[in-house]
Amino acid sequence: MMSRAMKQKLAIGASVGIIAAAIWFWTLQIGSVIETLRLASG
Amino acid sequence: MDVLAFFQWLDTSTLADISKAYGGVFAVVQMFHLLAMALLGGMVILGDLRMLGVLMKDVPSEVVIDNTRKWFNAALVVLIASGIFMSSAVALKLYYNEMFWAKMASLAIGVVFVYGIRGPLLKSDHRSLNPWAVRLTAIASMTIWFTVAASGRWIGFS
Repeated sequence: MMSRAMKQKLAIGASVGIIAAAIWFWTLQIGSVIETLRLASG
Repeated sequence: MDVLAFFQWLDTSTLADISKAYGGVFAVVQMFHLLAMALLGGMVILGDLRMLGVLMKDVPSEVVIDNTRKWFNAALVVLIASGIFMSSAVALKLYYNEMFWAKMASLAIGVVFVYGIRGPLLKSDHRSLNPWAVRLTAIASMTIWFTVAASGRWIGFS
């Protein structure tokens, strides 16, 4: 059984990790779309 | 476990025969998939925006979370079941699609986050919790489910 303090630390750590991973992932995706559009426009 | 072997099996399964042969059945299942996605998204937004103190401030957040949890669970079951059926129609195509794996990875992270972190955290009295733990959990929850839905939509464009 996890203590409340442990649950909170875990929640903060996991949340920061998820938000950072999502920012990285979507930056790559949007970057790839911009690159495709740039190449398509010649 | 050989993942490719599973997708090859799925591609030739009875489920795939039905999903490929009967467009009407596929469309109905897809309708349930989209309805469940709307329900899941609605429950996530409702619960997380309440945790952030944006809406329904007159209702205790424990009540909102309790009421959204059961509908979230139901929506997730329908989404996974209908998703397996729909993916059987294009199983091998999906296996080689990067965005499909991005969606599966974010779905797995979302499920672990909801049942392993968000759920246990929110069983406590919310007012006794660190406000930043609650806020970050709400933002991460919306972020991960947005990623699941958006990367799913992106499969069609990649």
